[in-house]
Amino acid sequence: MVRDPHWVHAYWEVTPAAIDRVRSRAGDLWDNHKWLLRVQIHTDDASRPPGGHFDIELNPAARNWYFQVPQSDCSYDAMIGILTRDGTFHPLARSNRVRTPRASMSGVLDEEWASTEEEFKQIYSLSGGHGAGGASASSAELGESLLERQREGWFSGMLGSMGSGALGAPRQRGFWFQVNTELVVYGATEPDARLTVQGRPIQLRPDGTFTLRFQLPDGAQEIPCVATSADGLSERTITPVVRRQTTSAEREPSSAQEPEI
Amino acid sequence: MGMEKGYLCLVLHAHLPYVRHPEHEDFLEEDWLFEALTETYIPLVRVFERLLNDGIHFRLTMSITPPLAGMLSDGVLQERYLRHIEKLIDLSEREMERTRWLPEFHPLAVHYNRLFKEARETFEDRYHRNLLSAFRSFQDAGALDILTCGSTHGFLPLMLGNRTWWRGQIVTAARDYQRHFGRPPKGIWLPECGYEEGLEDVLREAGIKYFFTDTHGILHASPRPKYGVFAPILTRAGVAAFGRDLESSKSVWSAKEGYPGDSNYREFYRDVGWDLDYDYVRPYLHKDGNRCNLGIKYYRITGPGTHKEPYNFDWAREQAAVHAGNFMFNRERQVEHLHALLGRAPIIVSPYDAELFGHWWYEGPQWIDFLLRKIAYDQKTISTITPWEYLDRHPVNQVATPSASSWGYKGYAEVWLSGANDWIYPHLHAAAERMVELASRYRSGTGGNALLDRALRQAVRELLLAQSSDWAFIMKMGTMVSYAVQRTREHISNFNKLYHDILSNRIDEWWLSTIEGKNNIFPEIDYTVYAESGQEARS
Repeated sequence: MVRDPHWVHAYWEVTPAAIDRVRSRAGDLWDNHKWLLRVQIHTDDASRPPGGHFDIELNPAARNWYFQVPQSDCSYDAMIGILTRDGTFHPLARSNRVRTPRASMSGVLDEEWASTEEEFKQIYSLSGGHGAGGASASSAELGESLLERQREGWFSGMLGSMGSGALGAPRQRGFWFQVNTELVVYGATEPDARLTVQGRPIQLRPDGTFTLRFQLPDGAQEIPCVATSADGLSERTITPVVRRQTTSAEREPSSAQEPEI
Repeated sequence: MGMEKGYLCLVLHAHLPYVRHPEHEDFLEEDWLFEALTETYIPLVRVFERLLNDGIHFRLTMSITPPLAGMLSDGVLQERYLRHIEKLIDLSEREMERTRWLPEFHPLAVHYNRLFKEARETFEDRYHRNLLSAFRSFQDAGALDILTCGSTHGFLPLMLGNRTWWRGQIVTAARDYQRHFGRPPKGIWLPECGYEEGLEDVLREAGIKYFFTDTHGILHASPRPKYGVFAPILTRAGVAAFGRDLESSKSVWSAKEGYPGDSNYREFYRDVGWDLDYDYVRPYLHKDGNRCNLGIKYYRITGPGTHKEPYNFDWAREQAAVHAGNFMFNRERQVEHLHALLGRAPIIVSPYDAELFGHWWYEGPQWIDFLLRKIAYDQKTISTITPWEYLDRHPVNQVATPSASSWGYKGYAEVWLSGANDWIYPHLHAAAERMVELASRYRSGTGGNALLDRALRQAVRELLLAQSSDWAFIMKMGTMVSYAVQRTREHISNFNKLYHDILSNRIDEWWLSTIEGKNNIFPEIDYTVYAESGQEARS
């Protein structure tokens, strides 16, 4: 599989029987054998030098390997095998063929859609390669710079952020401390009575009880609670007055606690 | 129309992996869908409704991936979303009470309460729980062009160039699209914009007319594309490829310079699920009792530090309008410049993840609303267009082959192929090979064996679900990894059991029914899409 224009990944599974076959064929040449990945370069472009191959020595326990390839926009396949002491390569399996992506603008021009080198570099630059040294930069440099610019962004990271909701906010560094206060106002009256708290009607539970929960800021709160009987003849008013006053002290310099909800 | 010097093609890619767990009463990862519904999909529906009601001319392109379409139309998840939004409404009512003495926060609580009720009303009353019908109506009205995607968002460049495997992703998706939207798809959003030469042949087979690549997919096409990313190229298969414009992308996407980081916008990470007293929020958390985001957030980004000021809806709205104006102005200048240079009307393709809008960038849907209104009324240089309309007006395009690419980090396959996730590919490839083997064996049917037919169809579902690029992505990102690993293992293991059961003619019907009920994506799936013709089998 192709990771990018310069790196390819191979994985394999070799059966013990296949290894045994090589071992018996090799006889005493088996000692000091090496595991190799032999990468064949396929140039399908006549203007390029002929292909050839290169070898990568593997850790015998490895089941996969990432390796760098000499050219982008080029085809490769690989054989996994064993190199015996006499230099004979015993292939065990051959991979599919892959092609690395082009890492820069194509050298192939289309007469029908011709533009000058300058024109194309300008368009290329406007498409994202700008700031890359303009028209004087080589196409490969422009390509690298384009990818460099793209790396700065977020790209397709939204699923990551869908998931990160379970992680919560990145916490501030260093020692921190927060204290907040809430006030619970609760009570009970006749289930069919009408109730207001600070002038607003409140729905009673079927058993006539009620609970209200408030964030309590600094300062005084007067909380008149008025219950009126269903027939409207009786009325009771109870008014808790609550005062919150917060002081704080610190032993090291840092900003005061922010108002929190 | 007709006066413009160039076009803006906004593309929203809406996707979530298929997460549906009827076997659990309550499941954390299902929140991905519920949060996206409340914060992105429903707000977008409301934006499009308002624009159409106001008679605004606009064009927008949006993918709705098959897994997302499957979830949006699924009864279990619809029921659960209603339960979810009811709980949020309940919480917001308690919040209205709790913030009574806090003048900076109380109006926000009231606002959330109204939004959640509107979300419920949109979801339940207006679209009868199936939001697909909303998007379908916008498409039928001509404003929206809905794209399909890989059937489970499988990353196609890591499928060894196997056309049959690609067909499983693409042909299945195109058929599923027909079922949901009543017409075949014209365009596709390739999962993660992952393109490799040869895909266009399978796209053509599926009747698809165009796709998108990242910037370098077009710029590095061969022969050299005369107009860069500012005009599509035609592949030899006749399917058009549009390339992402980097300049417009960056103004929204960039973590450093992008609009979403503005100090007046809502801070994502300050959520009542984390900020408030545990006993108070406990009834709204999942069964595990772990704190999580609940969707009520009271602060604005404020600045880079941890100090956060209360959010102000009016300021944020104004900022979204300013940013929409800025985006439009920059596109006008860009188009004027390019028009002179190219001697032809350029198309600026600006694709974004849909969930960026609303979920991450809370004001994003408003920004789209402002942008489309401003483009309609405040200028004449650009108009919004869909790729299909563009091709209709400009049918003559350069023939070239895009370069293999993706829109993932570093532009190729590294996100989905690294030490964190490469262990999955031997399993995925072996399963796909086995699926081809099974389908080829039963290519002309199962001879009336209904159980065998069901097993073959479920095998395809399990394979496709295992192929979702989301699992590899999550493994790479390092959050919620255990879920992604478990899903990969589950689907591969289900697939392998089906394979062996089918071969040994011992299909376990009770077990099959269980996984059919659970992994129920693609009710009309056709396993023969994996059958190879004799010719292909030989090559």
